[in-house]
Parts: sequence; C-alpha cells; structure tokens
Amino acid sequence: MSAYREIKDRVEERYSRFDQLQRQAVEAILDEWSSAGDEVFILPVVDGPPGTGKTSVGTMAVANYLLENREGGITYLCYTHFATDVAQGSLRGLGFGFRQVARLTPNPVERDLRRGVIGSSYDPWSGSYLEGLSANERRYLQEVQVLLCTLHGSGRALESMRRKQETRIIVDEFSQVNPPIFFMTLQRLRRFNLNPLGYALLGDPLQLPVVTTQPLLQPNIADYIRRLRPTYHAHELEFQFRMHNDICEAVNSLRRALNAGFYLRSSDSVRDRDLTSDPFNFRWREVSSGEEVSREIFDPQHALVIVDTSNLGREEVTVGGSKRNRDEAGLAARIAIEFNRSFQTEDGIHLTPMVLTPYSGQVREIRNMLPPDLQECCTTIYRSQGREYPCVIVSFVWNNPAGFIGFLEDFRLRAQTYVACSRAQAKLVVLMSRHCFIDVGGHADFVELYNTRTAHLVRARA
Amino acid sequence: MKNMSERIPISQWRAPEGEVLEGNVFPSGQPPFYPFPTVSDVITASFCPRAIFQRVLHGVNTDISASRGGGLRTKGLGTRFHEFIAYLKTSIAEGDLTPPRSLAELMSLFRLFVRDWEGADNLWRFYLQDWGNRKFEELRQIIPNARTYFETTAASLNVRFNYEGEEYEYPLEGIIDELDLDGERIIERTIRGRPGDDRPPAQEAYQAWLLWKILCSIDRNNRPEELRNVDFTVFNLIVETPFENFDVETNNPDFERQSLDAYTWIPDITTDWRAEAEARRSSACGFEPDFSCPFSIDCYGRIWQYPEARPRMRRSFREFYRPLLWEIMWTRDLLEYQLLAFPSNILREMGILFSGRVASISRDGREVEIEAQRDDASYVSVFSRHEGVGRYTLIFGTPSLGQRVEASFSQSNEDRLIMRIAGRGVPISQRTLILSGGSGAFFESKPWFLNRLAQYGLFRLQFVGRGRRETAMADSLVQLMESLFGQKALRRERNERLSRDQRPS
Repeated sequence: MSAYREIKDRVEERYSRFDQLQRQAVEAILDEWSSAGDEVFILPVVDGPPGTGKTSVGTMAVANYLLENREGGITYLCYTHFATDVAQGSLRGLGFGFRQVARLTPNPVERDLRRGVIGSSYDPWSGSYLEGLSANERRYLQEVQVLLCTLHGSGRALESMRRKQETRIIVDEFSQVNPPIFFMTLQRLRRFNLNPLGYALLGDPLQLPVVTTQPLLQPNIADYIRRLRPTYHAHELEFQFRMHNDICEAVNSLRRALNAGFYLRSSDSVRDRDLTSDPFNFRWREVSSGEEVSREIFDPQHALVIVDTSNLGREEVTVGGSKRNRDEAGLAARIAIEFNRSFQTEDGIHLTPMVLTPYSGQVREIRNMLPPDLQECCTTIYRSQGREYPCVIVSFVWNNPAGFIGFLEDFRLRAQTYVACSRAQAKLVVLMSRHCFIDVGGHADFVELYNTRTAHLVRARA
Repeated sequence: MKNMSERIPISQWRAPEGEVLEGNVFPSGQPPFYPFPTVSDVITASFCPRAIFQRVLHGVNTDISASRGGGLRTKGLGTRFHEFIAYLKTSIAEGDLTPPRSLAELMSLFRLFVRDWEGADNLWRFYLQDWGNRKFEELRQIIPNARTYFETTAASLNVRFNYEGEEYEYPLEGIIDELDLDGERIIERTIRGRPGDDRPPAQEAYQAWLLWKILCSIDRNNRPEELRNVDFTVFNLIVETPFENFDVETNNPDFERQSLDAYTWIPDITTDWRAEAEARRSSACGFEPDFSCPFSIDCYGRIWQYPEARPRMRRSFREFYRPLLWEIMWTRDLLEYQLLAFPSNILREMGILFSGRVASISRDGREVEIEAQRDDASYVSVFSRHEGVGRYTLIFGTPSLGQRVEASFSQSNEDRLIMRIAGRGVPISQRTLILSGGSGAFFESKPWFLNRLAQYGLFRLQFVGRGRRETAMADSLVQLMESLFGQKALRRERNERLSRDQRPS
C-alpha cells in the first residue's frame, strides 16, 4: 500500500469518528471565501470549548486539503509555539511528514528538516523574516505545503508562501488573538502580495485573553466580529472528548457564569473516565494517606473534589507583586506527592499530577515544596491553556476575611477558573477558601463551581 | 520648522510615584504617568510633531536621518557603517587586528565583516572608502586597551534644560555610539552629510548634544565605579560623517528651546485625542507633502477607492492605537522609571533585577556566562524552560550608564547561567564592556515592541486597497474588510444549515 493510500485511510478513519458538527466545520474551513457568490464572504469561526477537538478540526481540514491538492498551501497560525507544536504533532500523527508540513520558529539555531522545524531570524535591514536560511532551506519552505507558526512570527510563513498560487489562512487559539494582532497579520498578507482563498478562525472565546493591561485589548477577534456583525453565528462544537462527566458538569457551571451560549455534552468515550480506567489504567495503592490529607481526595470515584481551605492561612504578596499562600501551597504539594506515590500503572509508572495556580508567586512556592522529580509539575493557569492532564490540582491562593480575590474578579480574567478546571481529564482537585470566595465574596463563577452537584466537598484541617 | 505654534514648556514631568512606581498597583487602562522618552523620540518630536504622532501612536519606526535628502535607500547603511567601525576599533585595541594601511586592506576586513549583505557595495563605495581615507592615521594611534565603549546606554530621570533663566528637568534615555574616555569625547556617527559640508547634519548634532546632556545629569553614585570620577561636562561632542568630523557646541540655547518644545508633544499625544489635529496643523511640511521626508509615505499614503468601508474601518482601528501605546508604557516605560529610581538591592527585592557576576564571555562574543545567586539562577532556569520567559536584557555597568545587551537563556548549571547574545552587531568582550569588578545585572525583557508592530500593522492596513472594482472584487483581503466593516454579508459557511434545534441529540 502506498504511503498516500495509508494516510488517506487513516484520515478517512479519523474523519468517520467526527460528529456532524465537526464535519460541518471542516467543510466550512475548506470552502473558499467567495464560494457563496459576490454578496457573501465566507469566514468560518469555530467555537470549540475545551476538549471538543478544535485543533483536530483544524488539522483534519488541513489533511483533507493535502490529500486533494498537490499545489497551493495552508498557513496555520497559533498564538503560542506550543500550539503550533501540537498542530504539527497532530498532522504527523496522521502520517504527514516533513515534506508536507513545516513549523517555523524564531530561533535560528533550531533547524531540523527531518523534523520539519526551521528557525530563522528577522533582518531589519533587508526586511526578510528568513534571514540566515540556506538556498536549500528556502527552497524547502517554498515547496512544503503547510507552514505552521505563531501570529507574531507570521511573516516567516507568509514570506515563504508568496511564490504559491494559492494559500489559505487558519488561525487557531483565537481567544488570545485580539483585533490588532489579527489585523497586523492581515497587513502582512498584503506585504507579501498574497491573496488567500480562505480564512478560518478556531478557538474558544471564553478562554483566557492575551495578557494585557488594557481592557480594550482583551476582547478576542471573534468577540470583535460578533460586535461588528451581531447576526453572525459561529460553528459551535458541543461534544467534549476529554473530561469525566463530573468535571464536565463543573466546566458547564463555569460556562454558565461566563454567559456562554451553549453547554458541553460528554461523549460516551469519556463520560466515566477516571484514573483507573482506560487509557490511564492507574492502580490506587493507599501507601500513606497521612493524617493531614483526607483519603477521599484521592478516591478515583470522586472525579471532582473541592477542598475548602478557609481554615488555612492567608495569602501574602511576594517580591514582584505576585501572590502566594504558604499553607495552601503546602497542601497542594502534599496532595501532589500523595497522588504521585499512590497511583501507578502495572508497569510501575507513577501518576504525574499537575498543580495549576493563577499566580507565579504560588508556582514558585509550590515548586520549592515539591521533590526535584515533581518540580516541573506546577505551572500557571495561563501556561496550561491548550494542554490537558489526567490529574489536576488547582490552588486559588486567596483567603481573607474581606472576600478580596484580585484579578480573579475581573470578568475576562476570571476565565482562569474555567481554563484551570477544564484541563483535567479524570481527576480534578480544587483548593479554595469557601469563606473568601463564596460566603463573603459570592463571586459568580466560584459559587457555580462550589455548587456543582457532582462535586465532592472536603474541608482542609488547619 | 513651519507653523509651529508657541508651546508652553512642561513645568513638571509626570513620573510614576508611590505604589505605581513600587509596582503595587494592578496596571490597567491609562497609566498615571508620562512616557519615558528616548533621544529618538525627542529628536523626532523636534523635527515634526506629526512625525512623533506617527511614531508614538502608529508605531512608525522611521529614522528621520535614514534617507533624507534623496540618499541611498538601502536599509541599515548607517547602522552597518557604525558597527563596522566599532568592530574595527575594538579589534585593533584588543590586538586581534593590525590597523589597515590601505583601502584594499580595509575593504577586505569590511567584506569579512558584512559577508553577503546586499548593501555592502553601496556602503563601501559611497561612504566607507571616504571614511577610510581620512582615518588610517587615527586607527594606527589606537592604543592597546583604550577605554572606548560602543553602544553605551545613558539614562537619567532628571536631565536639566535651561531656557530664559528657567530650569526644567525631564527623563531621557539614549544610546551613545562611541564613548571615548581617554580622548574625553563622545562621537555620534552618521552617513549623512556630503563632502565639503561646513557644518554637521542638524539631527546628529542635536542627538550628540542630548546624549551629552544625559551624561552630565547622571549622579556619580549611579555610574559604574570606573566612571564615577569622569567629568563629562568637559567632553567634546563630535559628529563623524564619512567625509568630516564636526565639533558640536555644548552651550546651545537653540537646542535648549527646541527640547522644551519637543517634550511638550509627547504627553499631549499620549493622553489627549485633540493633539492629533494640533500635530497635523504643526507638521513640518505644512499641508503640502514633502516627499523627501522619510515620514511622507505614512503621512500621505495613497487612499484607494476600495474597500468602500474604509472610513468605518479607520474609526474602528483608532480605538486600538492608544491602548497599545499605554500597554507599552506600563511595560517598557514603567520599567525604565523603576530601574533608575531604585538601587539594585531594592530592584532585586521587587523581583525586577537579578544581579550577577560575569564569569566568562565566549571567544566569538556570542555567549556570556553569568554567576548569579543560586535562587535567581534556579528561578531563571525554571521559568525560561517552562513558562516561555527566555529573553533577558543584560546590563553591564549600571541602569543609568552602561551597555544593555539583549540575550536569551541558553542553559544553566547550578548558579551559572549561559546567556546567548541576540541581534547585536557590535561585538562584546571583557574589554569592550563596562564591567565594574566583573559585576553585571539582568532583567526580563518584555516584548513591548510587539505592540508597536501591532500599531504599525493596523495603521498600514488602513491604506490597503484597490483602485478598480474588478480587482477589488477578486481581492480577498479587501472583501474581508467590506464584510467586516461594510455592506457585504458575512457567513460561517456556504449554506448555513443545522440551526441549534436541528442538531443531533
């Protein structure tokens, strides 16, 4: 069987598992902008909440395009390098190699044609984004059909695409793409004399916006389009393929608080997914439940556990103005260590839980309390966007009598809660002070989270 | 300058104070302080208020001295001219090169330096050989270990300007091309000017004077140790063109007045919508385009007939320019105020500045090994690897006076950090850096320039279009604009089927 045939079969098999909404989105991405006639412009916006496979939709559209077109190209743009890496991995998983797909980075040292990774720097004197590339590397970039890179680095892909007869633009992760970044990218199209056949936007408008001090720069490009065109309807992906249903319930509670237009439904394949079931298959060995940490936190049957930390100490300001809560950090670290010790597969592989928190000060605090082999298992919620983990522990830090919760109160930034909770696949443990977030503050999304009917509530001991 | 109305000097510059300066205020919206101007900002504002408007709000990063007067348009000629001379002088002082004795020798060194850069022929033919013909003797006289520093950043919160008996203090930051301590001079290098000129190009003379003003206002305690006792007030200011060296008078009331005017535009444009109209009225070219001005393409760009929705598009874009500027102020400008306002131990406590010691510099000048406090090294290493924060500015000297070098985190080993130097044409070595007992410092580089690129991208998109209906109809970018801002319908797919109640259950 030829390589082409193998890829085609794989793509068709994967496509056959897509639901109708996903297929509809794929077809729309492959539409041309003018295909409905002169009076209509086709711009598919795919609203894909966590776990609904928006990147799969994007890469499936790319795959279908590659199977049907030997010329022309697609420029696949994401906000982060991580997302471009994920998209490239997804296409490689379908069988496409470096001759079809290349990822462009700003690191000139990073050059590996066989992996389809090319780094180049921008030369302000010549105005070229492909400075330092050899003739061979330039030729390669002109021939490869799919180029992935970040929006800020889009000049690299667009400069490489300029010799192609046709190109299409797909923008992934649009929650972090505000109108200026989007329009800056469009302006670069003109700079390289490109006239794309199609444009598409993929993302979840409720997820975290780009980090900015300016409220006017927080709305993403999809919000902006909706403001300009109130009657426009995006493609809405409703089925999620990531989370246990209890976690999905919590995520839906948070979507309600964020005024989402629709709610997620769990696909059968993940509805009852816990740490001991496929594909994780961990065994729970209660090695040392310890007197400080409640056993029920670890019980795999409780997919969603909320630990009330009202009895613990208060938050503090760290150098640089970030926040930390030593007691909560200690509890998060102990829970992470316990998860790591007590869950392992038949092959002896230990579970690596992920601790997420909104504050870099708390990240540092928790890392200092973790053993060296687990120190990398803690990061900020911002950094976790676009990723998924079997087991997530979230530390919200705040615990004060006034119910003050800093930027978590901000309408857009409070999507931190939504993003953090929706990273978990099989187990989610949330550490939050009920007193601060609910009794005093009554902050809508935390109330919704706390009152999720499938949540298992535990009180932390001082 | 034409049409310049009388400007009232700013009596007190609004710098960040208290909790804002200490970083204890959640940054949001309009900053409660004025920008921290650079020398380029002040020169641009002085050259033309409309040009500084373009620079500050639309991200137009044109160098007013780059192509004026119908000269050669290859980008970077002036910068490469300076970089090569810096490389040449440094290498001679370090004993790596012997001074060239002929144009042929100079040319071969130049070719090695620029390799296949496209502007090399023009730079050599029109500028460098003239410069070389004048400089063989000077190059021969370079003494080993000469105390000459290139690309030195000077910054002060209180640069003093005097005019008509009044004294004003404003912040200012700039980069000195060449600081020659042994010769007691600062040199501003340019490719502008012509053979036989009897005076220096005006912008460069003004630039050298502004840089000297900064140097004179830096408190001795804020200088690197080896520069504490240097009396900058006696320094000579030199503008060096390929064809001539010019002295610049330090006592210059015109420059004083010019600066006070220039400073008034920067806060007005930052804070007040009405300043746009005022800047237009006061533009250097009046209302007639002056196509020799490097800003003319941005001030008088052609407006195409399509997209027809352009007016709405422009109105919509306008709401973004100022927030993008304010974002820059909260990141770049506030940091600059903080670096100059606090001593390094407080900056470290604030989590802004890491201190260290330069352990070694690689032979090619591309890597610096820094010995940092173990905590800091671990913090930098972990956050660089996992949080994507990998770019730093290394400071050799002090924030007020020293070299600032962009670098990216490469690797770490306990308390040692290897930083890779990025995008610097002038080479670094132990001798070319201002190293007070080997000490150095570094801070995280925030990518504020991306906001400037976004400003410029938005601004240039305003000019995109087509003149004929047929070509406009085939242009997807124009049609996208028509559908977002005009009458054209916008749809998610060819046939919008499957309303929510028709979806699978």
